[in-house]
Amino acid sequence: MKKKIMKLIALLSSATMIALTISSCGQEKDFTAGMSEEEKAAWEEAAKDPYGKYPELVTYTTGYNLTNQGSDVLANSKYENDTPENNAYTRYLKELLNIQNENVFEAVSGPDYNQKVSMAIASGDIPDVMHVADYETLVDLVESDLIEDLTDVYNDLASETVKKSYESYGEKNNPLNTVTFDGKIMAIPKTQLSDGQDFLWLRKDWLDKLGLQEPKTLEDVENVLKAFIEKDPDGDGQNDTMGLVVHSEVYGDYPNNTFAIDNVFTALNAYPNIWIENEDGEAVYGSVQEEMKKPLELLSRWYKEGVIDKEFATRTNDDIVGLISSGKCGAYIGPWWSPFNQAQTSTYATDNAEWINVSAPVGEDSKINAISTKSYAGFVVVRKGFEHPELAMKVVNVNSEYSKNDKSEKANEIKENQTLAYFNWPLYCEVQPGNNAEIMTNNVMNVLEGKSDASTLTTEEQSYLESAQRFLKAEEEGKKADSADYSQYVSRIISMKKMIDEPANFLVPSFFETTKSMSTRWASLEKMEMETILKIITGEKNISDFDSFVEQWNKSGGEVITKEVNEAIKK
Amino acid sequence: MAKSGIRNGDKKERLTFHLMLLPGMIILFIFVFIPLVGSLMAFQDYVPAKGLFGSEWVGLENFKIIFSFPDSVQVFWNTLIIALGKLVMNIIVPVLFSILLNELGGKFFKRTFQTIVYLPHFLSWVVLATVVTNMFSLEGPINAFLGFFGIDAVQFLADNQWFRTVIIGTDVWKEFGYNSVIYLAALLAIDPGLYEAASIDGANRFKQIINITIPALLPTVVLMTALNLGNILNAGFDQVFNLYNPIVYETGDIIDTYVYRIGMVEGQYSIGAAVGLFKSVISFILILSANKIAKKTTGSSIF
Repeated sequence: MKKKIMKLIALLSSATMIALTISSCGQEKDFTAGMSEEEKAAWEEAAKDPYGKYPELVTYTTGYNLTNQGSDVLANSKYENDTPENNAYTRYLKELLNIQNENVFEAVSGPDYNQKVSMAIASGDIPDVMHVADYETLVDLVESDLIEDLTDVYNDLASETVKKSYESYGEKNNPLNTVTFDGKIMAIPKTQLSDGQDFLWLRKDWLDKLGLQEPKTLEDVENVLKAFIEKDPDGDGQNDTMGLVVHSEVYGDYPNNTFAIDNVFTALNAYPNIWIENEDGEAVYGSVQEEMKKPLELLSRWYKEGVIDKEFATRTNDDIVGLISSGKCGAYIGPWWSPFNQAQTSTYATDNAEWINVSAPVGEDSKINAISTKSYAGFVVVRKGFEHPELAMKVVNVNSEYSKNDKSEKANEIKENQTLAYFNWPLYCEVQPGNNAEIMTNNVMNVLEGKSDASTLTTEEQSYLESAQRFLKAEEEGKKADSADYSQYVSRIISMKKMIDEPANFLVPSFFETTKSMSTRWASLEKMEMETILKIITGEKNISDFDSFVEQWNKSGGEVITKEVNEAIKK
Repeated sequence: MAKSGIRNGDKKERLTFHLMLLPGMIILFIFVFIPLVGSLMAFQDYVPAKGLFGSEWVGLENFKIIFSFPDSVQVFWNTLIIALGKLVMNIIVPVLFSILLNELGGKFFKRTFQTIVYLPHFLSWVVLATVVTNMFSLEGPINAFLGFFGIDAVQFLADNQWFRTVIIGTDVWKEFGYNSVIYLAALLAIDPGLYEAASIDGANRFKQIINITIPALLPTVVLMTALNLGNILNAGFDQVFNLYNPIVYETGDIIDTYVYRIGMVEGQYSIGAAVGLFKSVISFILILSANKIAKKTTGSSIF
């Protein structure tokens, strides 16, 4: 008996000891403890200056966003051995601010990265500073009190460029509105440049060969596609070319979903997959509106006649890229930066393809009907209790302002890395005015046309200029330009110019976020939607089945969600 | 100890065996028993940041939500049909294969065949999905073959009439080599004397199979069925996920892919956990009853 009691006491005491150690770990130590007044003053000064260098190296933990280019793009460059903790960006920040990142996780931007963030949040142990991609995650973090209030940090340290950029979105669409909770700024929003409209990308060499004009209307597009199928544009004497490739999801995530064909829908005034305002000023879901019938009928006819890829429903993105790369297909719908897609770079290199973007198919007023994107794309948050919350703002300042005007040798490395595009800034957050891409193109064009001097350009613009010059030089010499230069030139100059010269009509969705019922019901409603849309297009269902789908959609939660969305908008 | 009728002298030996079991038990504890606590999520409105012990309890609310989904029933049936098809075919084909292989003379042929059919088992569905998609595409070899007989090309993976067949068929193709190993072992255990006696009595090869081989294999078959019944609600996430598309949701969307879309993509951990728990309970009941039936009919059982 006595033995048992002793055992119990031992167990209890060890348990308390463990508990004590754990709780003491949770307490933040004041990092200035034990410092002289002078040292303290130096730290304070550094903390108040937008570009203040810390007296000693500050190591912060974070999650690193990589681009999906893959590390191969660095091969054979002098950055071959760079790592996410030691690359042009991190070296630059270290020299400028005396800070060093320590990555808790590294992942490719998008689902991979987001999953890692979710896991970090689930474990309750988030890095000191990190980028989170979506609004729900931000709300989660705010509600569970895991992140620091950045109001003072923003007011005291945000650079003028950053502040002005936010304001450029207008009072109603200011990205800061999104991160303000009870009057407190809880995160630094990454701005979302206007992505512009999707274009129809066509092989100009095919058009020329068949003597075709650039299409405008839906009928024009249909004629061009039919010619691409029937008239042997690749001239190999075989009937092996096809019309338009289509993303297996058909539409959504405008305009970022390359190969999605939203433009076909919007040309006929249907706006699927977004919340739009109806005549009564109420928000309704675009995919269940009467307007959907016309484009669906058209597409189902196109499917039957083979104008669009017969196997689109089972194709992965890689399959589609393969079809284009192998020269079987010369038409797809995609955003202005499509030249970065391997589909174009490989055909440029091997097949002498010349790609152009065309404003087609257009709506009634001869303009493309496009959908606006939201003004923010992710947020930088700071862990509650981190000793240097201002560090996040400083890095954003450097990303968005300082580095762009820096003409030093160090900044050159960054410029080169931007062209290679494997690493991002450690804090994936740049604040820019909404039409920044157009501004940059205009600046670069002016230099190319000799209207202004190259020294007026920011470092980023300079990198585009140099790419353009290298591309033009190679073309002039009758050689193939480097594929990175090709992508930069065709997207930044050719395709962007079209965006400036041929503006589109932009519809601003009335709601971007999710509501309570959406989180439980949406997967099921989306399934219903995709199933119906695909079956109508492939002819397995009739267009008249669309009405019963709408009815079913409303019954299964659509109606409730629509109500919630309208309530959320009014708030 | 003494009650169970084991002599004291065995104690030491038993300890050694128990120690050998220990690593397995530890792994089981860490990876099976501890995560079981997470099932509590099914009865909560789980918010990751609040954690398992800070989230709000909602009783059976999540289960109500699941059963109110319009496609719950469809998804359940799809799972059951695909899993049942796999279960049955994954017994019939390997048994037939091992009997045929057993009849084959020559060690070399036997070994080579066995190795070749065994190979696909080691490939992941992520890789095989590309192969299958290409094989069954409009311009793929299967459609080319059908074309010889004047049959119109079929989009197997985008056709609700064919999708389940393709799923079951390709799964059987991938696994029958692996599954036949256990039956081949059972065949080796049959006393050759029985065959000799039968041939003296004038039984031909076919009769020998019917009257000796099959009855000898039966206990193994029953045992394997019982073991696999626990998987009746696992229709194979990685396979279906890599091969399906919205057109075949009607016949191909299974519980696991559905939970993936709701639970992981939409971040609804509680609902995902609720479906997972529901699946486990059904599987548990099935495996218990299958065990009972096996015990009654053949005398052999798992526990």
